Amino acid sequence: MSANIPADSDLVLGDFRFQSRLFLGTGKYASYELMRDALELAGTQCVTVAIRRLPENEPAGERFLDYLDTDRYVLLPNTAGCFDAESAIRTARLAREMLDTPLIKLEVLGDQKTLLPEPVDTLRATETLVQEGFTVLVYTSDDVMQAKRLQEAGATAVMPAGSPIGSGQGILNPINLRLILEQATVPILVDAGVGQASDVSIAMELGADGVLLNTAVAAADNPLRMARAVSLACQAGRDSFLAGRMAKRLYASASSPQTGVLGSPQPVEAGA
Amino acid sequence: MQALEQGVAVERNGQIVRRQDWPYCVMEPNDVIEVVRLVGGG
Repeated sequence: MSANIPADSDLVLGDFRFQSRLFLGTGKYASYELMRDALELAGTQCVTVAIRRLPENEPAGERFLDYLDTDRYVLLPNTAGCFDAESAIRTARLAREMLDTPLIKLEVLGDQKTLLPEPVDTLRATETLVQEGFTVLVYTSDDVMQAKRLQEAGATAVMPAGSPIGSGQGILNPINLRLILEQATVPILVDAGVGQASDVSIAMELGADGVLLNTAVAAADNPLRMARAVSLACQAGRDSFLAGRMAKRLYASASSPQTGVLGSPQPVEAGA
Repeated sequence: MQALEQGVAVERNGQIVRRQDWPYCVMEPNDVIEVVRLVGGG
């Protein structure tokens, strides 16, 4: 006999439904083969890709797309590397033309050193792309008010950073993340800063709807083992969130019965 | 242009050239062409 646990709901992003709540990037892998195998072990259903100029006179060779099973993975193009709204909007339009998808992971960055998002242009680009019919998944800092503005602007999902992109510092401000989640009317996907599997669990236990990561897997000493670890961590964190945490107590509460302990006084017999 | 494989998009003078229009697109001497493709990214 096996115990029954109710099935989790799908994560819905516009017209797309996902059973896996783990999103993986496709950058920084030592080889395309390693990327392909890591994606498979992670069990993700959606992977991010970037848009770049085609170099002139590029020699024929292996193609990135040859290693991505597009029947298996939804491709989520990003606007990584864009530092103003205009560049991001242009990149999003090219991505839609290329992939025939409304999905876009919108990133408008503020500076090269921190890669933190530029809030004004991020909001402006969100408004424009939503008007143009894009399904906008927008990268932002963990600023509570900015997350609210982006959701009000029509973003399909808001993606607060746990910490700066590629830093591996984990979830630096769980309080802000909780506040963002509390006011959310759209899915919240934690994006950026994940360094290890436990960071994924923390985000999911807080109630995030999903987690997107890249470097934690690609730059691990053993990317394949880390891919499996983040997958398990995502499921564990989600189950822990859905299960509901026990209340914290100031004092101890014994798990074993307090009666009948050897060496404790015998109960007094009735009528003695 | 027709020879380009799937997985690219093309801008001509700042305007996207739709894939179905590629066969009819006639290049002019001073055209500025931008070709982009997918690469790995996070």
